[in-house]
Order: sequence, then structure tokens, then C-alpha cells
Amino acid sequence: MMSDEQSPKSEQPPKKKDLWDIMQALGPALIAATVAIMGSVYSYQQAQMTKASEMREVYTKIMTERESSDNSIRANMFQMLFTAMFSKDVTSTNNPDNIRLIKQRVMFLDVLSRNFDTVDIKPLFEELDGDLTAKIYNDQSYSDSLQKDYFAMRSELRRIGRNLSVKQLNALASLPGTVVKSIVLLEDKDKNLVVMQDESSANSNGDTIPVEIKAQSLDDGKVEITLEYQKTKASDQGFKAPSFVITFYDMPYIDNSIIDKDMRVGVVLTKYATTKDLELFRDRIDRRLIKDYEDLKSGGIAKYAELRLIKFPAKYTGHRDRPYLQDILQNLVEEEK
Amino acid sequence: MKKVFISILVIVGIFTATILYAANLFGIVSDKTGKPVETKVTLKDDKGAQVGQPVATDKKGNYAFKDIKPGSYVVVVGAKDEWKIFVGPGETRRDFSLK
Repeated sequence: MMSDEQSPKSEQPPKKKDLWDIMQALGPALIAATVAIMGSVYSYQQAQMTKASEMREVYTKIMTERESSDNSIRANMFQMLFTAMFSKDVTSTNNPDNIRLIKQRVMFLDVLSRNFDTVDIKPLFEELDGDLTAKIYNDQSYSDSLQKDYFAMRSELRRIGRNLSVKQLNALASLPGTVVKSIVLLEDKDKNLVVMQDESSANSNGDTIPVEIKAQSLDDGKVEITLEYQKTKASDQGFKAPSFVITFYDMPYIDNSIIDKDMRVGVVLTKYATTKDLELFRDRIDRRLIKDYEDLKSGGIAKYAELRLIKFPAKYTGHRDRPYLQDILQNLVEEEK
Repeated sequence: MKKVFISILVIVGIFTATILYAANLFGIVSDKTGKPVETKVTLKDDKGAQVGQPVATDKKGNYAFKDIKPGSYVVVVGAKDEWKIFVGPGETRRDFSLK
């Protein structure tokens, strides 16, 4: 009886394995595989992070060493140029090499301004400019030929100053949020001074500069002006803006004023012409400008100056390569995102 | 030989005397968003008389007027946009953004 009952049971077909059974069987293997994969991924990530960290360290080290080396070279160069520039007295009229020494000083200033464009060397330029101006117009002890040589030297000095300031102006003008405006100053034979605010602007979004320039005088490469901030003028009607002098050696990186919270304003002298020079130094004036000078003179204009007024965000100054540094940082942040 | 030398001197003298450059005005015309605009630029003197022929800007918005007399001018861009400017000796750059 017992054997009859057991016999059909043993002949039952094996139960089909469901998903759970498969999972149970494969479970340990799956866990092992997952742990292995996660371990590999983690190891790979760690290796990548270590590699990136090492790369950053190497990069930082290279940059630091390069900066240190660059600073050392610049410091030596600065010292060498200064020592050379002040080694001889160029003001001595008995010195036969006078013109040669002045040429050297002009060249030193050129090298200095090209390599240290954020060091304020304006006093050096202005001292030499003033010295040459005195020799050109006021000192009768020099021959006509020598005075013409001094005039040519001063023109070269002013060209160097203007090139540097315009370079800085262009660097700032290319940044967002910057507005540049031209102002032309004209003085006629009767010393009447006219300020012409050009209506053109380098900015395309209609942004303006809330500052008004008033000219006080034009005097041989020196323009005395006042800057009136419209907001101050409106809130304090008794306020009188102080005047200051702009020369070819005013650099917008250095010579600028903070207006309001984060806005800076700089003024650059880009052109200066006096028709008096046409009579005295015709053969030393750039030949391409003679016709223009004659046209100005025939139009009754005795002196002409062109200023550029620039408004730029305060964060874009105070450091040698600040505009470029800002761009680099911005690119890094965008890449990181 | 002497005559040839004098003739050369005279020719060189005339040549150098005629190369007396006048002022140049150049710049870029852009729209309100700062994109360069291809348009016509006309120059008028302070009495409203047209100076030379109008020039067309290129694809980058560049325009240029060469050999003009320094002084006050009105620059007309396109049909109606006008700006008063002063052109000084040598190169004068003025950029215009359409109003």
C-alpha cells in the first residue's frame, strides 16, 4: 500500500524554475561581479583624480617657476634701464653728445613702457617732454637745427606715449560693458576754445557715459579739463569738479577715476596739433600731415586736440594683465560648468 | 648729363609735392546688437553739401573716406541715421551703431 502511494509521487515531473530560483542561484555571482565592477570603477576614478591632481601640481609648479623667473628678469631689466637712464646728465649744453643721449633716454623710455606698461612712468615722460619743450621754444642758446632735432625727439616721445595709451584703450574697449567716446577740442586764433562732443560711440547697445568733459585750456600737448559726473551735478549743484591736465602719457590702466560703485572713467589724449609748428618745424612734421595742418590753419584753427573718454567696469583694472586674466577665469568657469 | 639730372630733380620734386596726403576717416557700422551692417555711408560737410561719393560698407561693416579736408562733417548711415563728427589731421576712426 505504501509502495503504491509513493510510486506516483516519485514520477512527478520536476518543478520548473522561476526567475526567483535563477536569481537565488546567480545571486552570489551577481553580487561578486557588482562589487568587482564597482571596485574597478572606483579604482579607475581614484587613479584619474590622482593623475589630474598630479597634473595640476606640475602645472602650478611650472607656472610659479615661470612667474618667478619672469619677475626676476623683469626686476633686473627694470633696474638696468633705470641705472642706464640716469647715468649721464643730458641737460648739460656743453655735452656734445646731448642729442645722442636724449635719443637714448627716449629709447629707454620706449623699452620701459613696452615691458612695464602698468608701472607709472608718466613723470619720466613728462619731465623729458617738458625739458625738450623748453629747448624747442624758450631757450635761444640752441641753433635752429638743434631746435628742430629737439622737436623731432619730442614728437617721437609723444608717439611712444600715445601708442601705449591707445593700446591700453583698445584692450579695455574690447571688453563687455565698455563705452568709448571721442571729444574734439578746438582753439582759434583769438584763443576761443570749443568742445565738440562727437556723436559717434564705440558701444553698440546705446549705453552712454554719464560724464561731461569741460575744457579749461590747450597748451602744447597739455589739455586741462574737468570731468563732471552728471549724478553728482544733479544732487549737489554747488559742487565744482577739480580740473586736471591730460597729456600723451596718461594711461587708462593707471590714470582713471572711480565713479559710483564699479565704474571707472579714463581720458586719453590721442591727437594734438598746433599750426604754429607748421611755420617753425615744417620739415620735421610728418609729411602726410602737412596738408591737414594747412587745412586746419586755413579754417582758422590754431590748436587741435582729440580726447577719448572711456567708461569701463572697475574690475578690469589695477593689475597688469587684468583684462586677459578676467577672460581666462571666465573661460575656466564655463569649461568647469 | 646735366640736363638729365635737372629733369630728374624736377620730376622728383613734382612727384613729392603732389604726395600731400589729407585726412582719412574710417570705422565700422554695426546694428543695435553689434553685428556689422552692409549699408551706404554718405559724408556731408557742415553746410549740408555732400562730400565725394557715398561709400558702401563691406561684410565686416568697414567704411572709409580718403583724402578729405579736416573739419566738421555729418555722417549719414543708410537712409536717415546721422551723426555730427569732427575729422582731425591724419587718421580718424569713428564707429557708428545704428539708432
